[in-house]
Amino acid sequence: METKFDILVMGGGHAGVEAAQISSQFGLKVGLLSLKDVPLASAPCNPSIGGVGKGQVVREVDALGGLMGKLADLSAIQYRTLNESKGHAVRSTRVQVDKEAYSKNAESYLNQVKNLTIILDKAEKVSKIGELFHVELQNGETLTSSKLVVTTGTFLNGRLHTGEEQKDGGRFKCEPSKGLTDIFSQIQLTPSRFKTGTPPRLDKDTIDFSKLEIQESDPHSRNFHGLHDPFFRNMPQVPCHLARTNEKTLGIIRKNKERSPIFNGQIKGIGPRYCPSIEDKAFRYPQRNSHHVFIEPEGLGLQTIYPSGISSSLPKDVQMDFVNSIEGLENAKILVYGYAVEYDVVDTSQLNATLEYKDIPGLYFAGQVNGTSGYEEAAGQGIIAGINASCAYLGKDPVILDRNESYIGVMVEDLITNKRDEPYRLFTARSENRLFIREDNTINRMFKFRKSLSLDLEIDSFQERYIQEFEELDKFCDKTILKSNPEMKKYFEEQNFGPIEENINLSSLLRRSQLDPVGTLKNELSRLSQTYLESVIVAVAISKKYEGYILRANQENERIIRFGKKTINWERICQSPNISNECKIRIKEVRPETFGQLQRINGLRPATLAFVAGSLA
Amino acid sequence: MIFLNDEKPIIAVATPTTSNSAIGKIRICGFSDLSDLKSYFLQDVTQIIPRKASILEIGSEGKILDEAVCTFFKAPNSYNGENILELDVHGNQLNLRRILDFFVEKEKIRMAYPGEFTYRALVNKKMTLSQVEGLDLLINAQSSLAFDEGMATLRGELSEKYRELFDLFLRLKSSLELSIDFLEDMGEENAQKEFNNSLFEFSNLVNHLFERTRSDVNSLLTPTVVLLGQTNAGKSSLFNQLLLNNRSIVSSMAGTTRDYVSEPLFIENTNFKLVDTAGIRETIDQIERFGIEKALDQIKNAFFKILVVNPFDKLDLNLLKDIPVDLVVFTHADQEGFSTDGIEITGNPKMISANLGPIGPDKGGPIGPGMEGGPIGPQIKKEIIEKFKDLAKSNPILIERHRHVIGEIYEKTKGFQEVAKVETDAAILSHELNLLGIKVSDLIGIVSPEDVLTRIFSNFCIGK
Repeated sequence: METKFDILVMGGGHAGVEAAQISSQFGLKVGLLSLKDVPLASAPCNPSIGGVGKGQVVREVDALGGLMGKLADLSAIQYRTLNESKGHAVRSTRVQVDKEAYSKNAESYLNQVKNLTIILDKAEKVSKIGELFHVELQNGETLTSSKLVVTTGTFLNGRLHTGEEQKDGGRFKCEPSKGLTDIFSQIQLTPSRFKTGTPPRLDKDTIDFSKLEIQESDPHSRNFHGLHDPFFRNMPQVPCHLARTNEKTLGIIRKNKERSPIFNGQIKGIGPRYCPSIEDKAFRYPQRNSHHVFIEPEGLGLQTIYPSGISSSLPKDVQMDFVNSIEGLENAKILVYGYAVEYDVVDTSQLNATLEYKDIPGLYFAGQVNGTSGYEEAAGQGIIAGINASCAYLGKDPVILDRNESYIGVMVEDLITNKRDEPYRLFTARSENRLFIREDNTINRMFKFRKSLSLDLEIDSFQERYIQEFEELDKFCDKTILKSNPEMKKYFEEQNFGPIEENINLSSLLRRSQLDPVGTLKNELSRLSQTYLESVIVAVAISKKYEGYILRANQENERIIRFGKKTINWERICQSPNISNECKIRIKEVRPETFGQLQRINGLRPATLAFVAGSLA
Repeated sequence: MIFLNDEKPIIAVATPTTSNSAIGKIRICGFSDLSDLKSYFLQDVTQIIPRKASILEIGSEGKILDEAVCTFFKAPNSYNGENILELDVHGNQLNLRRILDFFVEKEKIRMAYPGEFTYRALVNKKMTLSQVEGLDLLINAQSSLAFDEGMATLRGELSEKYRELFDLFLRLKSSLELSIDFLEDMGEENAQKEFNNSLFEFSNLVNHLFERTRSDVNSLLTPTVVLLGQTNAGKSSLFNQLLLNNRSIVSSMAGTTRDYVSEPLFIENTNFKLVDTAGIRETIDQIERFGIEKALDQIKNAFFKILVVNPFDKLDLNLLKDIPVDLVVFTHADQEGFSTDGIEITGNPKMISANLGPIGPDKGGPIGPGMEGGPIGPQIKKEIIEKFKDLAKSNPILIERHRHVIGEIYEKTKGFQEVAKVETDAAILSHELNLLGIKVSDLIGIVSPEDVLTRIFSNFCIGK
């Protein structure tokens, strides 16, 4: 068995799979260590990929050369475009995937990569000796590697809770990884453990779908992978359904407060505010008695249904009661009970922008072990860690994404700039630049990073072509004049384009607020017999629409951004008698290098910022 | 930044420099240690204890300039966070000048720029921007209204209202985010309701604050009471009557007051400026015309306008016809044939008839039906202060920068409300809201541009 690696990835979840796959593209010797009974890239929680903010991340991962987009397209059984009526900038794609198919596709992909070795075993001890990392396995062998990427997810001292039952584990039916002590004893963890939960799984044959609202798959939603046809469906499509909790449901939960591990103190881990368990919802929002429950199939060949919105760690009998109180689920059988997992989390303020641990060079952390939640967030970190571990190994410059250009950039900077006190999840609200960071222009934003890797694969030639066509079409729109003659006026009237009093170029037409820029551009291009890649047309049309706003936003932000980029000397700042001790502690933890990073530290007094700003100018 | 920071200690006089007084206060700050100041005193200045008054002689080599009561404030426990040494010396202007020269001649200490002491308080976060503005208002206040607002701002009270604005803005912004990131949980209807509600609350507060900036600030900070009217209608007599002394030149010949004269008029804790203008009439005399132009200037911005009319002399009322006045005084009411019939005054202000004859408290009282006897001065002063109090009740916002920013926020909010009615693109709406947000944070000084500081500090006098 191969035991010597250039890059070793510890953990076969979404972060690990991305890190391993991208590293292999560099031609390095890559190892992927994963526990025996856990499928690769599994979906232990919601069997879906994408969503608001997350759809954008999947596309960014894909544009960097990652795997998630491909896997999602191959395994998708229901498509939706969220926020469709809210404008192109906030539109996000979300797909339900067949869990089994997703993992099988991941496995088959990775197995085909010649320089990637998958090792199914458990790590007992990890240490760094000289420049190499040594990982001792349960079977007695030791793996060595120059770079180590840790993507252990919730397995670090994981503990499962279902009501009063507790046992060690990182996930249902999976053992915890308790033994990782050596190097991990040096790693700084967050002061509190985090918690994540999952709902009970129901038997699909016991649900009365006729009582539920149906949500069919949307044939207009676009696939994730850049080279795939946007509308091709690889798997048969199935609908999802919508159920609702009611007063009876909430009543049952409220009656059992002392038996809830979250509320009786059995679990001390902190859960995310934005993904509350049904207990959280019941107790923190006492005036609400109806919540959405999305009934999602876990796979075409699987019996289980995933009811999204009722994650719970209440005792089994209570789970049974409250599920059966929901209309449509009166006779539903529970196949797997809901549980909560408590786990240790790395203090990400100890990482730098490449996700390398500051005090232990060569060691990287990515995924839920960093306190994020979501497969997409994990994948985003995984690919960044993988790219940077490889670049470091090859002596190339690091790849650092900017928060003004990508959601991955927003996420990484948020993680390293602050101590997390709850699991981190991406929302579009976290970006100050929503008009610019969109699904449609992902390749435009990611191109320069992918190009800097200098890998010559299919995706690279595709992106070159895309960029070239984009620039051509962009110029074409500016140069094409629509003359204000009687024929054109008649045409405009027919098409409902609005008035045309003087000559305008195609770009101006696309900017008209009452028009859909994509439809209009497609229309005009076919009328003028011009052919371009479909994704290019979409991107150009939408970019034109937002051009003016983005320019204006940039002007306003420019001063702030410019100021934010100014470098600061955090040590000298901490020596000043005019900064409070509390602020000094926070600054010392993060060690910010720019004013922008300083600004984003939680809990700093505005006066401190004003003081530093004053001394900077 | 705007002030040169050459690491030298700075010095300035903190008390008024326009007249002599018993005590003058000089402040020195920015020295790293008392030993830096050893060469300026005959005794050992390093021996003084912080905040304990000590007597030292200023001077060197046996030559004494003055004896000073010195108080040392050790950083950071001082007005602006730096080491400050205060010297109380004899308040003779020549003395102060001599002492300042002595300290700066060796070029180790320099004169402070206007407002530099307070600027350092801001930089050392001893004061917020709003507090500095409050201090400005407080120092320059001419009315208890302005003084009170200055004090409130210095104490941070006005900031409360602005904090509320910021919180409501945050709520508005959140409601927008809600409809983007959490639409599936919230539901379209709820999200829209929350957005509409928070926009409503926010714009209400903005409107309320805007109303408070509407009043004419100048007229509240240094309120002017102006006497206008025809040439020789009796303005100067009334002027003197109000001041009860013989200030301006009174003569029965037309065209005596060439320009305008003014005197402070103190009514119930408020310092008004009483202005007697040149008589308004058509004239070819250049100098007189110049005086009339200046008079019209004063009249335009005046807080309280008193029109003085001699009904026997109806010339030139046309020039004054379109100026709305607060009070009309008809003079020469003791003369035979006095009548106010046929005289039209726009706006229907209060009218008083009076005889402003020989000066004296028992003469020159209001005459006419319903008028009590007695001096006219108190009657008129009552009218003036009533109007001022009325205006004060609307709780106006006096600080210039705040008024300016609130005006901008008001305009931007109105614009945003219009956009919100038609725009369905959430990202564009969010972008417009961000632009509004930048203005909102301008108000509570979290994002403080440098030009603002420059503007404020040039209004300060030296030594503060």
